[in-house]
Amino acid sequence: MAARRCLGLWFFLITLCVVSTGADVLHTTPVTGTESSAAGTETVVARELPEAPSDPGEHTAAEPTREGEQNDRTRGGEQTLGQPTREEEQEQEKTREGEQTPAQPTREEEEEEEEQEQTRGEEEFTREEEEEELTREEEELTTEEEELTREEEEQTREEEELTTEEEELTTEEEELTREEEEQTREEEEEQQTTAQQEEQTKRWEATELEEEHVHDAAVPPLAGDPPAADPPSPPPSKDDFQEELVIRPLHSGDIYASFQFRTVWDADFMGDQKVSHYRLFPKSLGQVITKFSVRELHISFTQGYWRTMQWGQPYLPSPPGAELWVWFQDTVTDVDGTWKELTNVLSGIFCASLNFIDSTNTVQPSASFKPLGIGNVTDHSFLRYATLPREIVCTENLTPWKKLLPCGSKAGLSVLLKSEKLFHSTFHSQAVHVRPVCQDPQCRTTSMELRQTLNVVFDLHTSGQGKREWSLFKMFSRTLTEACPLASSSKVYVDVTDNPQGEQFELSPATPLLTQAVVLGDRRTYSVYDLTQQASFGSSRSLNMLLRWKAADGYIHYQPSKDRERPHLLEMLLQLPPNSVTEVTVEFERALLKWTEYTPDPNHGFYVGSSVISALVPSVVAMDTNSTLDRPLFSSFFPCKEEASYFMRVYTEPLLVNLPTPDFSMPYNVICLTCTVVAVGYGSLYNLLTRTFQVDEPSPGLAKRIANVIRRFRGVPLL
Amino acid sequence: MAAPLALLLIVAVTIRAALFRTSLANLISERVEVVSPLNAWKRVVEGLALLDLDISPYSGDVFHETPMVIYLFHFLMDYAEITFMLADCLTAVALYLAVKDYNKQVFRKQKFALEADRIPMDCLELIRSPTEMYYIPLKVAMFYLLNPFTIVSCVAKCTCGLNNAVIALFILSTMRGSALLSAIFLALATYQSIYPLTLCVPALLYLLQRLYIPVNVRRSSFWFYTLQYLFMFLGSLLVLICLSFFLLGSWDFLPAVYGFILSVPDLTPNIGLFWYFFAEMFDHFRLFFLCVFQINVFFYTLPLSIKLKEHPVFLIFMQIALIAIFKSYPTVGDLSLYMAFLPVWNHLYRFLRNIFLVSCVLLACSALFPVLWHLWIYAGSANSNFYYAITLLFSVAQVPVCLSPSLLSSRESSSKTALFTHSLLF
Repeated sequence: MAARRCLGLWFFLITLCVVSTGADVLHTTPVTGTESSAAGTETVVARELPEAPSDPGEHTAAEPTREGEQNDRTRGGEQTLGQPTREEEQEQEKTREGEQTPAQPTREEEEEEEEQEQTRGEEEFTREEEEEELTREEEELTTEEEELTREEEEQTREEEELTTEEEELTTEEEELTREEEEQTREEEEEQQTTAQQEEQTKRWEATELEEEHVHDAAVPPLAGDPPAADPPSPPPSKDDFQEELVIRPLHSGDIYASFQFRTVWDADFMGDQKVSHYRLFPKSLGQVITKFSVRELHISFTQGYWRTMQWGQPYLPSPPGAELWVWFQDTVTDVDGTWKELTNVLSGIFCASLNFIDSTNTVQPSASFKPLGIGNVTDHSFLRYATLPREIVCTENLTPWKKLLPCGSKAGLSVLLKSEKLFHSTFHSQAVHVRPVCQDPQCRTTSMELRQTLNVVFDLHTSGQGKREWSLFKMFSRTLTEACPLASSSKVYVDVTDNPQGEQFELSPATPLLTQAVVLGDRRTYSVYDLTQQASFGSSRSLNMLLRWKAADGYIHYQPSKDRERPHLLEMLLQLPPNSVTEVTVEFERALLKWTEYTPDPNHGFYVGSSVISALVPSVVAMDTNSTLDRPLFSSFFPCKEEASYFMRVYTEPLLVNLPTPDFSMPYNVICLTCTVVAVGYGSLYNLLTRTFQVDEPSPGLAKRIANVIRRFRGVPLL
Repeated sequence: MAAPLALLLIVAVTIRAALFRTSLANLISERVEVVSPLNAWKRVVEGLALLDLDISPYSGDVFHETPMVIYLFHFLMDYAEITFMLADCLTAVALYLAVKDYNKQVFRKQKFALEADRIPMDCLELIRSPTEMYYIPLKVAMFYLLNPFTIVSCVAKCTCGLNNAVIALFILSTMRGSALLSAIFLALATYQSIYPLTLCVPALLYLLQRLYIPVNVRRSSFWFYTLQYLFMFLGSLLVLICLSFFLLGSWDFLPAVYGFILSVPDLTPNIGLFWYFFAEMFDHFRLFFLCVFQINVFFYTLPLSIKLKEHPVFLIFMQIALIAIFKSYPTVGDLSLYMAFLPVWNHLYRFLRNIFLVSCVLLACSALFPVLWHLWIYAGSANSNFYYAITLLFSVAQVPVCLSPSLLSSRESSSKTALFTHSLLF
């Protein structure tokens, strides 16, 4: 028995929740379990959960504590935007203001800037841009000055901000109450009496984004905010820029981020008149298109291979390496010559080795690679397609790509594109697509569309420890602070389709806007963050989406053992999808016990009790929940609470662990031998401590001694 | 001199980095000779996992590191390999600089003695030439970095590499005469594993000697300096312990770390003397022998400091060696630290009778550890006594290695030489 005590028993309490098509069942029952000795590391392997409708109440209970943890754990500049209550937010704001760096312009300044922008004409744009830069520089300077004089100004600014925020808060609260009233009315109509706060805040955005406008109206109209234009609506100006980021949590736990920047320009590159005034459209690319009479241009640089089996389909597929395909206009006479020149020019623009494209790796596909834009071209002699699979994509390709953007990497979504993080990923693909598109549904006029896309898959394992937590800051080491001022629309979408009730991951800050889009033959649901709305940035003025994967299990209780005192206990509450395998692994070390702690037959080994699985299993027939009914005894042991499921308990095999044993026959010998070694050490030291050295003259020989005696008598010095 | 050292560091880091990439790393980190329950990397990971689960890492019997280590690796988890390689390099560089300083003093002393004509004729062979002394610091760094014991210890990510770094920094700051830094690093080393407490006395002796303060109980300057040093040492120790308390919010770590070191509840085999002795010990004698064995480590400090009060650096070396031999959970990483000091006294090794035998025994034991472990645990064709015998032999062989510079056999050297050596050269 002593040995057992020492070994430390493992008690597994595993409670399974088996999910089948419609029934979601949950039950907890304590059970005994598997054991081992010292260290334990457990690995839980569970496959993805299917989209099973389940009770949302299960998970809400765990959330507050998780949030607390989350706040505790965030470190190093990463700001967590949980879902605090209004009062907390205000408090946080108050506390944060002291820490906030003056690097970001204050809200008032931003508003002013935007106001200026709107009032000015488009013709003055270039000047305006310069001015903007100047003002920004000035602002930077002033912020630096502010830093110097910060201590003085801080108090006044704080007061100002506080007052403005209080005002805002009050207005927001009013609106909230108004909204709530509306909602309650709606709910009354719908006969829904259960009101959950979380559900209340979530509102559905229709595919046409009507709700969003309602939301816009609800928010106090911020001066100078460019109106959020919807993608299908015609751009108000001659050219239009939109930016968008889609974040899709993949089933493998990795994160897929897809940036798209779209510039549409009404200019007619195909016509005869020369295009010389560029605003949003990059001039370098426009000139190339004009010079080489390009109808469509598609170029992509990719590092890594897209794992379709693990990740599903990408939004924009691309082959590893570089790919270039171009449709020339039918006015081009020497297509091969133009193609050669074009590749050389593009190679210069994108700092890539596209100049290695020649006749040896160029093809003219006849069936695939039809034009993606308008135009009914059938003559494939104007199409050229080439790939360079060896092309390595790196920073020098990213920088020119970023330069094509109207905002560069200064503002908007492109601030996230920092090469040190982007290239530290599993998959990276950047592309430029130029094509003519229709301007209106009737397709009376065409315009040129430039789409710059960038797709990244961030590895789950780079963070170490397999911690499945992602935030914008962790992915890009930046947070979003503003939209690109030139963009008519700037949005961040997060795919939450697989997460209808928040059981797979948790997204914060929660956004009330949801939208649905059909992509890749599937209807997906997205949370939308509109960067043109100041409200998206919350009180901290920066948007840092945090995505926490929830563990496959709902609950883990682990009590580590203490030698000779108490056993290990591991309890897990798991929700298993059908046809899945869950493995619980316990690593152990073999310990040596005291010789009196072994059983009389120590070489037989030590038993580790069985682990226990308690489960509620869906029943084929309806179960009888009335326990008072007269039933056969064998069918009425476990009380049945639900009709759809029955209770089941499974015991695993016990384990027999062979522990090393000492030699039981020689305690005396061991004590003697070890003490001898200690004595050797002690003796040597004693020797060293007590030994003294004296110069000892060797005694002279007999002849010498006699000679010395004689010499002494004679009075001469001794030998 | 910087170039050979840099080259050495590069070679050492390359070896370690290469070994980290092989499957050997996993194998080594499982070896009981390399890691002990006190400093195994696996347990650090476990402790971090427990901390993440909001369970006190000390609630179980798995984690025995100090709170500072767990918080250190909380941030450095992803860079653990680099941290351990850096710790090794830091140790080597610190030892290099410390020994360089020490050699300067020895050389000066030797010069004075030569000028004063105090060196007997038959001792002239013991005088070290400047070229010889020039290479000693490099040899020390090399002995540390390229010692297979250090390498396996680093590859196993055994946290005793960090302790070694702290002790090396302590030695360096003592050599440089910085009492405050010396006290802080000593407090850190003591905080990590109680035993370096005994290094307090040699450090104090050295600092006193450096300031020409005689060790005299009637002198107020002696007492003033001693109290000052002790105050700094105990103060920083207190700060460290309180900091740990504030990090964890409980005193759980005190019994889990220091109680674990002192009471030896985990009897997993290692290269030390404790495990088999206490596995076979009769229960009612257990406490008595535990006290005897633990006192044995601290016991030698006082007599040795009296005897070697003129040679504090040698005293530091002896204390480190004694700790490595007699501590409760020794690993090969502890050995590597004192072995690095051997080149400092290499001119005295010619008087050693059985240095060849001793080194053969150490080598043979190192090779036999894994073999006999396999025979005992996996093959079942040997029993625990085989492994125990090797650990005994290993400990016995270490004693002459650490004591050899002082155990000159007068049979081969004249007694005058011995006297001279003792008085002057270490």
